Amino acid sequence: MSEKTSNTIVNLDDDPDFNAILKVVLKREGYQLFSATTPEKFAQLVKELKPALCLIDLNLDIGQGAGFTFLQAMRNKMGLEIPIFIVSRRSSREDISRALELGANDFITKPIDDTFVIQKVNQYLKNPEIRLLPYFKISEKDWPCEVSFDLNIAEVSEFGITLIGPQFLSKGTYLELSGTFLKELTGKDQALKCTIHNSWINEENGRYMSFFEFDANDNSLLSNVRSYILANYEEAPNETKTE
Amino acid sequence: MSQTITVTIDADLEEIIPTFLQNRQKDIVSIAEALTSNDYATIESIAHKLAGNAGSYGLDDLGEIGSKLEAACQTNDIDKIKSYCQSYGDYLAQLEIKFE
Amino acid sequence: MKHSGKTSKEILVIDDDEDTQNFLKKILETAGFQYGQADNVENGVLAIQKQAPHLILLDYKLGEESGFEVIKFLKSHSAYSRIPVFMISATVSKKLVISSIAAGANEFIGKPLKPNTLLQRIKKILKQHELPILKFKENPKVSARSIGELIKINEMGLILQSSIKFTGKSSLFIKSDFLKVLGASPCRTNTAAPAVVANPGVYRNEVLFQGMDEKTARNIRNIKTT
Repeated sequence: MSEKTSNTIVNLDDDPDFNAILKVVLKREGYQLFSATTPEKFAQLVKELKPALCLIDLNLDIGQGAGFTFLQAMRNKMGLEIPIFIVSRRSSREDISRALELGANDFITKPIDDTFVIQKVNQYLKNPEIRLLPYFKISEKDWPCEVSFDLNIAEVSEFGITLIGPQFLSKGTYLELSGTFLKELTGKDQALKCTIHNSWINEENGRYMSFFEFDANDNSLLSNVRSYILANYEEAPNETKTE
Repeated sequence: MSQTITVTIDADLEEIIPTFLQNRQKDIVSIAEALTSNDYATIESIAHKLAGNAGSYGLDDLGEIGSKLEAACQTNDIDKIKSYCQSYGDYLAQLEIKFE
Repeated sequence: MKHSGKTSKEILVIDDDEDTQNFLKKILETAGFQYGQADNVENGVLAIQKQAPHLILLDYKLGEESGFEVIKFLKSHSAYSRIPVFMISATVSKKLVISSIAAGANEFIGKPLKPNTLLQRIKKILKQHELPILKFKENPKVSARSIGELIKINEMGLILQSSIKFTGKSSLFIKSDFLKVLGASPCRTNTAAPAVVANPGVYRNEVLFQGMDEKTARNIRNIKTT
């Protein structure tokens, strides 16, 4: 039996109106929300209630962007287990990236979309059974592994590729990419080696995007990509040429 | 006792000037041959190229000689053709280049 | 998407005159451009197809041939018609300028070429002719391979640590020497729970085995771990 109550959620937001609506939205799905309007109260609630999930607003009364510092502090204090969502009107790519790297599990923008919020909360709170079987620790020498998975390409420019997918690829992630499309794009059989330049969340669909650059010294790659772009670019019907 | 013609040219061009001048020496040889056979078409072609390139290399006056030689070929003015061919050769002989 | 700007623009010069080529190569490479050259129509067309240059400098007269042949090629292929072209020529006549532009050249530049004005015009035209960004109605799929660390294991699944935060229901194939010994490499897994942050930029994902056979499960059960 887990010591966390699996339907208790605590949030920190200085806006009582927002807290009221969030409570109603979460209650529909059987979650109980406890709100704090100050960081001190938030810490107190977390300690007392041991919630299954926390939501923290980035724009706290105490100063713009103070939420980042607070997030970091909370992450350190609460440990790695508890999921933390950042809720904010601020939603630039940099903000979101930073929040995720500092320890947030997910990011919700205001004004909130009911369904979206519920979906995300459910994802984190509705899988308790897995934790029941104990895991054996693997010794460090046996750690290294190779992971393969699928990604999609959102955009191709002559400078690099923008990837889209349900995965958040941290800046600096090293990938080897292959597939029929890439073969056609690059004109090469070998996998395309890349390092992620930066990542962010697409505001429209909530999916993660990442960008990496082509090797500036690989002229044959660059010309193949340019040829491909030239050959495959279709102007939208009402678009005027950029002159 | 010929005078030297000193021309100051952008240092960026220093690497490519030697090849340019070598090609110009080849021009002089070709012109000499063309003159013996009255082949003014060849001379016109050489002059045309000279007019089009010398200015780029910072040698505007040399380019001028090229233009005049080309014009002379187009009007079949044999005296002028011979005169400008001579000027071309003299210019190259007197040319001294400074880079900065 | 912001990029570091390290890639250089490629300029193709189609001219049969060696002095022009030497001059342009020097000027353009010094200015940071990638330089390509061809000396006749056929080689020019081949170079265009191979290099997909950002700009073409084309001499009006290529030996016996005319530079217009190259423009004709460009305009008859929708892909290449986007590439800007400067017609260069030692002969400057109003008629030639007009017919060059009418045929499709973006600008006409008379020889002798002067470095500063030429570079200025090149920079300007390149700015106006940025290559478009390809977007897709159906995003093409790509197979990605990355490295990670297997921290924990049981018969049901693994804890995977990596710089990638897997969310939703992702299918991952995992290979490792450790798994190989157990007869479980490569294994197919699905993400089972949301990722947990181990450190900034480092995530731990719980993944469950898919299609594991009994023998391998027993091997895992029998692991003696430290």
